[in-house]
Amino acid sequence: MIMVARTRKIRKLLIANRGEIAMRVIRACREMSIKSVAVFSDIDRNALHVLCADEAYPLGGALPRESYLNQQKIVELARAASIDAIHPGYGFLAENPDFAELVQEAGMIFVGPDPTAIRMLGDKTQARKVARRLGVPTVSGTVEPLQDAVQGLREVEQLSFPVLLKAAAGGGGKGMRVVRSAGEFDSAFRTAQSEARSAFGDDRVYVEKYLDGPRHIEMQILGDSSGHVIYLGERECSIQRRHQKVIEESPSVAVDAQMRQKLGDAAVRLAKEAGYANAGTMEFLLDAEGQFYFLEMNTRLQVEHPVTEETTGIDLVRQQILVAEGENLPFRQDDIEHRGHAIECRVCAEDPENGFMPSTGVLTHYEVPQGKIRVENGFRAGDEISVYYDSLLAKVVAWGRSRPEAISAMERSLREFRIEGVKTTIPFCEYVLGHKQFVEGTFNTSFVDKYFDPTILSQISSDEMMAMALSATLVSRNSSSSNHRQNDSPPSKWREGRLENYRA
Amino acid sequence: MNNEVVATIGQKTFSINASGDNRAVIDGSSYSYSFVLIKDDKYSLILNGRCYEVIASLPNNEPPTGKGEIVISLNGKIRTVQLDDARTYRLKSLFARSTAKSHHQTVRAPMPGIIARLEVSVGDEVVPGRGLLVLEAMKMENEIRSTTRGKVTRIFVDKGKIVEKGESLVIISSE
Repeated sequence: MIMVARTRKIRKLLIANRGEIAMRVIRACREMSIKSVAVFSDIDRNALHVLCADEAYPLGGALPRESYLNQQKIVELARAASIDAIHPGYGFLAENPDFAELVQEAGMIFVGPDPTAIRMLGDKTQARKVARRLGVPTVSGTVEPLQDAVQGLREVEQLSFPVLLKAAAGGGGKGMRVVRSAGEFDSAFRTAQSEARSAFGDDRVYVEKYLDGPRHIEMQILGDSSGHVIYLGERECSIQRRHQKVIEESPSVAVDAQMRQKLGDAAVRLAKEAGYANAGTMEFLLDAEGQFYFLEMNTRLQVEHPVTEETTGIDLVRQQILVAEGENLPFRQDDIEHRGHAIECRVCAEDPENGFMPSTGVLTHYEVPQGKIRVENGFRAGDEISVYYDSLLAKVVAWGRSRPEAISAMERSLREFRIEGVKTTIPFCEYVLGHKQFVEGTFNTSFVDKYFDPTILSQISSDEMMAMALSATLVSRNSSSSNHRQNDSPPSKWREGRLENYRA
Repeated sequence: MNNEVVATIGQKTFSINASGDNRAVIDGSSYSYSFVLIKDDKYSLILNGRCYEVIASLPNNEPPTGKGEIVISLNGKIRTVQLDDARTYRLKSLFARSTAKSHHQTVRAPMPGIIARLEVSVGDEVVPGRGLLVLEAMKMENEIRSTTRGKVTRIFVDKGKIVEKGESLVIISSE
């Protein structure tokens, strides 16, 4: 069969997202001489992605469903601004086939797979069906969404506890709950449903057997509209909290050339079956015996895509845009070379000492590392981190010729961060990078439960404590004497500074 | 004039007299230091020859209390330092010992968020671990559970309300 691809140049692209991923796409647009268009909620008027884009339009609202999930509004704005294409980023509407369809019906390009491919593979229950049909191993569980908690419990009888409730439309650990006994099922089911509704606008939930302590390995693929699909190597994403990745790397110490090819072949077969064009990721679980199971597909760009970019030298966002324009992939499987080792750490506004609870507030101080390191950042000093959106502030990506080199570059870079105003996952990442199991590569998704000791993060030396005590004393003395205020502390210049922040 | 300050970090206290130029007496020993403002809230401290980068700020999300709390980031490590003059500090530690335990426990929001739903009503008996309400923040739902046994005597919030960190949610009273 000969397919003639129709190409259509993108001149102006709207990014239906915020934070670091919006910045990532804006930068790719700049490099490709494409005009970038941002959209923003009421509270994001001053956000970095709005300041950096060529054009920006308000969505209104603050809650995701009033703003970044408002499909009609986004398409309306795009139409009015004569936009050629919409890039959804990840999260929000990235895996919503109705949105992709809406964009196409409005005569614009959706930078992502076709809606039919999203329906087939992005829906987790559908993808499991396809994998079973193709003989790709899957974790046991339902291939249909659960009607209600009662039916869910009946299904669990076949699987035995613990089980995992998952959003059919899900990703990123949202709408996911481990259930260890029948008593917890009802409340876990409702929470999973409501989380899924709020994160994806779709509350379908299914259940699968929960494997204790597998590794999480995923395979990046790239397809074009002429039916070529290639794989770009695996990413190890086993360091997770709340089923959300924090540290990712490529290659995985657990994957050899033979397994890489097996995983790659399975991923390519799944993608071809669905006629998948654009970037996508197949997630697998790898058990202690080296058996892998297909978990789900993410029909979008992943948060951790930079580690693959670093080891292959391929700019995935650029390729996404080229493929969306109808271009064929400029390389074949044999052209892909893997070089060195890359690690990514996610800097999230969360408190690792306190169960990774979300930490919100104004970034009173914000400096990112410099030197030989890649930082994908979405914020700057003065920004307010609100309760409304994802906690990801920035990603740090280190590359080295070997894994130890990449680890030490990452450790150095994490130490250069200066973030004040919110707690972050940086101390957690430092803990992991220095941990024996991580350094030796003998870890899996139970790392946090098994080895993470939050009390160790609090340790500082007595010298450091004395330096802090002295600093606080001197800061307080300096500012009170210069202001002639009666009140010793807190110094008044900060009060004024903070009032400005409240006003913003 | 007595310039002695008591700085408390967690469980540890330091008595500091830094009235002399570039000399400070800390817990009875004398140290020389250099402390310069770099920009805005950023300073450089050299103490015993060691370099520290210092960023000072107020505790976040709380209106200034005048209690003398300063958040210090020292080479990226962050602690809240409580400052008192020596006299206030001695009074406070006396007072702390005489405070009796209350029979009412106010459950406060551990983080800012939106009340996704309430799981108890006024009059409900609760035990430790019983879910009280669900707080949604950054797209994650967090169940706030009771840590005590008692009766719910007051609920301050409704579904959909946005709460700040530390805001009162529920009062649980025990007999």
